[in-house]
Amino acid sequence: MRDIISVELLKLKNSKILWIVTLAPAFMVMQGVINLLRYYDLFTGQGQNVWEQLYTQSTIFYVMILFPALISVVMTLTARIENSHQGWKQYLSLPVRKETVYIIKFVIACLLVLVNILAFIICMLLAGLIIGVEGNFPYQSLIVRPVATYLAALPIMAILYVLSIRCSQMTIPLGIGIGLALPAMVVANSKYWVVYPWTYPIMAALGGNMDVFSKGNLVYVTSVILSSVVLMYGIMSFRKRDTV
Amino acid sequence: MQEYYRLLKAEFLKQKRSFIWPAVVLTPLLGALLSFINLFLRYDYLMSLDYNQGLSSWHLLLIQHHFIWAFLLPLVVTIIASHVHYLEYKSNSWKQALALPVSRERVYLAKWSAVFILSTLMILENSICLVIAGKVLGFPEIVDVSLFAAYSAYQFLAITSLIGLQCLLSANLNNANVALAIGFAGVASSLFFAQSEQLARFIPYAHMIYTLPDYRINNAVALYYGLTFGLVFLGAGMLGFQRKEIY
Repeated sequence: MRDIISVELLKLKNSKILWIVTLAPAFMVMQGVINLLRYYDLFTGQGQNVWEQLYTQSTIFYVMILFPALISVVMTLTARIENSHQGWKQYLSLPVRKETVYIIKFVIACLLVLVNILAFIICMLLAGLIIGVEGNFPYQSLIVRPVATYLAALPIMAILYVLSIRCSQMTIPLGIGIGLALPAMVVANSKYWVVYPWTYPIMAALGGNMDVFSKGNLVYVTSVILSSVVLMYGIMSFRKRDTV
Repeated sequence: MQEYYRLLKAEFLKQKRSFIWPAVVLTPLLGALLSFINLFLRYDYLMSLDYNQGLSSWHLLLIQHHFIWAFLLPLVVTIIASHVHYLEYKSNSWKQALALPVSRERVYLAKWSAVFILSTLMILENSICLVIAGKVLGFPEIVDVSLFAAYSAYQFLAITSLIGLQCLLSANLNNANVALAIGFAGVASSLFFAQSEQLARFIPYAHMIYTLPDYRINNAVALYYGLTFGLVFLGAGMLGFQRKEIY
């Protein structure tokens, strides 16, 4: 098992994925800060908490577009080497358990997405300190909500991971990931949100500020159940898969 | 010229069994369907807003649609540009392709053209789907052909700069994920860039935001800067590709 983990990490070494998952949220926070400074009076004129405003400005486009897009990229990358060079055949002819390989790849991909969220939190904190934001520090917004967004995104990660492993063409998981991300803004406002996992991160991230998105803890319960079901399906189909 | 046509034909042949064609067909359908549902549920409410007073139903449809389409199209074009180049990296075929007696510039131009043609098809299909959506919704006015023609024309020019930049990145970065991530971050920030017209002129990702034919939006940004940057990036890409080292 340790060998599989080290091999998987080795494959990612030159993929620049760590740069991607770290720099992309930094860019979104930078954009949020510039926007906040530009319209400072408008956003804080009625005594609003500046940290909260920094969070909102940085999060809106991050959670609606970039975060699901990055999940698609990370999940696609996880199976890239095996899919592009007929690597599955060689990999699975080795004395390794299919289930172990499948789960380790998924865990590593999920950790990369977690790095992305942590980078987002750290960038927001640094940005706040650099521009000298004062006032109460809202742990709920700056730390709890991004972590909750990560948990809410687990079904998306599971679905795109299953697709990435199944499809040798990277455009399929990418296209589906992106194609389903944009309608989420519309679906989140309807009663059908529960059947659309791409709305969960939006609700988790923006729930408190935008009442329309607030759906309570149901998001997290649904998220955990759905991701477990999808992952179980993925493992079972991968076990039966003919890799020739 | 014959060589260019053959290369272009080869590019489409490579895409024959890929997911690109379904993406090209389904993306405009998805965008139009979302706008159809939006107006089906909220037409009366939207028409009653002060902001929309005096607008025709077709204009309202375009305004509502633009918010999704201005993100959806660039994201899919980013994927297409990346995929067209990734195919060569994936099968290690740059070496073989460029060892043949074909001009490197034409190889690059054929790839650029393939992305542009696919984008054009998406833009045209999107306009047709919107007209159908409006007809099904039963708009009282006749179809505003000039509005749709202007919207499509602005998009052709605006998307040129994004295609130029993404092709340049995809051809030079052997890791498709980097080009994709840059494209996705750019598109996600496009609305932010578009808030400043001065800044938006120089950011290809923001040009699509300026394609909505509306008196409140300066379409000149999409028209002039989209085309100019598109040609500059195409030229830079062809020059860079000529000197590209293939191992």
